[in-house]
Amino acid sequence: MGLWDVLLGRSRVPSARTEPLFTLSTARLTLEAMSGWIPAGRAGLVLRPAEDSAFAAAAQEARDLVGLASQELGSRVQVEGDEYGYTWFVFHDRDWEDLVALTHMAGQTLVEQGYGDRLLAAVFRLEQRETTTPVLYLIFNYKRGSFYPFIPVDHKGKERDTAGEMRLFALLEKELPLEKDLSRWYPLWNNPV
Amino acid sequence: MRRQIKTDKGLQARMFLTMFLLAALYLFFALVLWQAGVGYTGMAVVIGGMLLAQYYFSDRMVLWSMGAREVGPAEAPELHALVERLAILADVPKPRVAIVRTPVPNAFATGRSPAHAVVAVTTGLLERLDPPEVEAVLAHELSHIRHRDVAVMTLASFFATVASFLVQHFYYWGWGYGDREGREGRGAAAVVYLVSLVVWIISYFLINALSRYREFAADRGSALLTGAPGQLASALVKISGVMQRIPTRDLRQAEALNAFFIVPALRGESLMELFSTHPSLERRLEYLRRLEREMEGR
Repeated sequence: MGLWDVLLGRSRVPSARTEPLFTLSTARLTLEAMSGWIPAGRAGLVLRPAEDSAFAAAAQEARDLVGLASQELGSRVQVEGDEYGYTWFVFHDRDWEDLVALTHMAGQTLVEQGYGDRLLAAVFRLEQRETTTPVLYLIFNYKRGSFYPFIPVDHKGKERDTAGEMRLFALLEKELPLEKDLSRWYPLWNNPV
Repeated sequence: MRRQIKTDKGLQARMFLTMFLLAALYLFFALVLWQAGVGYTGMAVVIGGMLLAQYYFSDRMVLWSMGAREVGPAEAPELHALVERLAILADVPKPRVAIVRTPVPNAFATGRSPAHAVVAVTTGLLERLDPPEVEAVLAHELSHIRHRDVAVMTLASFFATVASFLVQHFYYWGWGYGDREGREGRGAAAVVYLVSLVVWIISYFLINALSRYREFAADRGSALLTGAPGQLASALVKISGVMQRIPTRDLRQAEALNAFFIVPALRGESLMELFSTHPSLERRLEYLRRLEREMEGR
């Protein structure tokens, strides 16, 4: 929002940036080598549905495209809602590159249909070898085009492992476009990914 | 082959330059005082005595003014164990341990030498931080002790104190020349007054800069001791109340409340930093991230 937008009260919802997602391909190696985080075979995309009829068609198209692509890649797609009324695309695939490609494709389809401003975040799940806790979510904020780590410790008590997140911040800073403003590191508690 | 945090040449160069400038400034100041007459030596001795007392009793004075109470190993066993292990790692005598009863999370260290040091933490710090974070904070304070920061800063502020004293108590010291007459004496006094003012102002900024460099050095010492810069970063974030800034509110909720991000992120780059004794949180976190990468050899 520029000065004029503020003065004239023109609020625009910023549109989405999807390209930075591809930086994940290289970051994966750093994650594994430096901190032992490995892909857990799941990623997702969360969006706020719009109320107009055209949106349903756009979402359906994204779904169909992703469905076709996932058959090609041998992966699985689930679509589900959550308690906030958001829609989740959840992708299951052992291959990290496939997950990145599917997520990008789903988001890009919506952007092309003019619904880029509906995209909230993409989420990639990572775990430590041989154990299912803790879980690291790399969250991508479409509006800001940046990533940030989220390591939940206790979903009920809303506790997160800040020290662990800070360490990842240091290690990934040169590899990924990371969110420098800590007040934007919003958690996604109990997400389906 | 273990990768380690390298010596920070840039930081050391900046520290040295600041000290050099301070020394040059003080030398100039001493010359002016000496030129102006001998009436000031008595005062310098008095202030020197005061500062020496401050240096000598710093631990007791600071503890008393903060309302800190020394605790034995029986009272705070975990805290003592943490301090003990860090002292062994750092190869310094174990400092005394004190606790301040306040919900505000904070910590400080004082004492003229490693042998006379005290580390104090607040109850708020112990309640709010996890043990590894407390350890990182204690390691930071222990690094202050190792670097003898009390002595360094007391020495650095000696002439600054003299100058500020001269400016503030000018009427008592300045105009009263017993052995000189009339305008000449008055002219000399005016020069001393102006020079004192300038020295006071410049030294204020230099001392603050030095203090900020010592903070960075202590952060670095903490990272070296604990081997976990991330823990100190996390502790700093919690202490400075940015915990309100690292949100726990869900993204989906936050999005519903503000679809439009209007509030700009405050950058830590500002003139205000010149006036503070600690570097901004952003700068310190950035520095710790750099150390983290150095440890990983990147």
